[in-house]
Amino acid sequence: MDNYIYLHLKDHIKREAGQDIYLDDITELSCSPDVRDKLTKLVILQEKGVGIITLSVVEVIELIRQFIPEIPIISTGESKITIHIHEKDEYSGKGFAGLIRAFITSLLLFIGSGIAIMYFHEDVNMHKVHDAIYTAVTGQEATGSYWISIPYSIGLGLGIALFFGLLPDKNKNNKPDPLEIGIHKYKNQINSYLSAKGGSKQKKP
Amino acid sequence: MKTFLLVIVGLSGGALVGAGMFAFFIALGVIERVIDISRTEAYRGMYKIAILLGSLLSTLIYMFRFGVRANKGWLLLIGLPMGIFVGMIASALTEVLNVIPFLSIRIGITKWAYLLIIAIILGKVLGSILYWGLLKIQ
Repeated sequence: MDNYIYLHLKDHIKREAGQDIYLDDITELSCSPDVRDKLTKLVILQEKGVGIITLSVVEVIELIRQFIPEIPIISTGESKITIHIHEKDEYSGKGFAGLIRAFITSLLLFIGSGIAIMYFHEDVNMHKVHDAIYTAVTGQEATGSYWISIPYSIGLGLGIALFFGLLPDKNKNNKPDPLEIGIHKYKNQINSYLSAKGGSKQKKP
Repeated sequence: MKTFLLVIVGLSGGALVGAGMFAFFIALGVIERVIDISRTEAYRGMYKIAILLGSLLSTLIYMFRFGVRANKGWLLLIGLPMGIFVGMIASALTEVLNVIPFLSIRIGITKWAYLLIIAIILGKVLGSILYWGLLKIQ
């Protein structure tokens, strides 16, 4: 086995406060077994409070150099890693407080979406279109009957559920739905902004 | 001469509106999403024709007001897909697709993200029913 250390630095990790961060947490390593023994216990960050810390791969390499001076290190991953340390359960929404927040937000979205869809229908003059369709299909003048409106409204809800993958489907083949992708995209934006801005520097141990 | 000019204007306007409308829908990703859910990408040629025919037919009906004398029951069959399509468009707009991740992360309720969607669904359905049922605008 060639005597190099291959260091694949991850893009970002998220950890709860109260743990030390080890080299294994922030990289994938490929090296010979005796080197690996020395490196797995390497503490990158002592347990601190919450915060967002950016480490460059060079800082990590310098840390490794203090213990392993001669073996060449090759970086194969990211050039910076964003380490996000947060309070336990800060983002999961667990507990009573999370439930209350979820309830209030749901209420906001419930009423807001209702009003928004009413505005939308009025804006595009959908009433006129529905009347035209009614006349085209039945040949009679539209009298405000509900034959289009009710299935349309039900279909509206179905369409949103369909879009977000809420309808049960045994053949979903586990593809992510647009909401998961949206959350992922948003988190990536946050992380790339943070790593471009450069979080607080790590103090040398 | 005047009719010729009118024809040109009509044709160009139609071409632009048609292309623009469906570039918009494709950019939203609604059509793609529907194809994905139904797992029928092989039929995309047929879907192009379906979209084309549907747009043409509805334009003609709307402009020239012709129609048939069919049973009211057919409206149920037509109304449901109408709603489904509009619902999907309403979800694909940025206002929904970016707001929910933003809200659930900022307020710290990622566990309940799908509850927010259900709230939106109920709100929109109720809003739509109210709009059609109680607020008739002349």
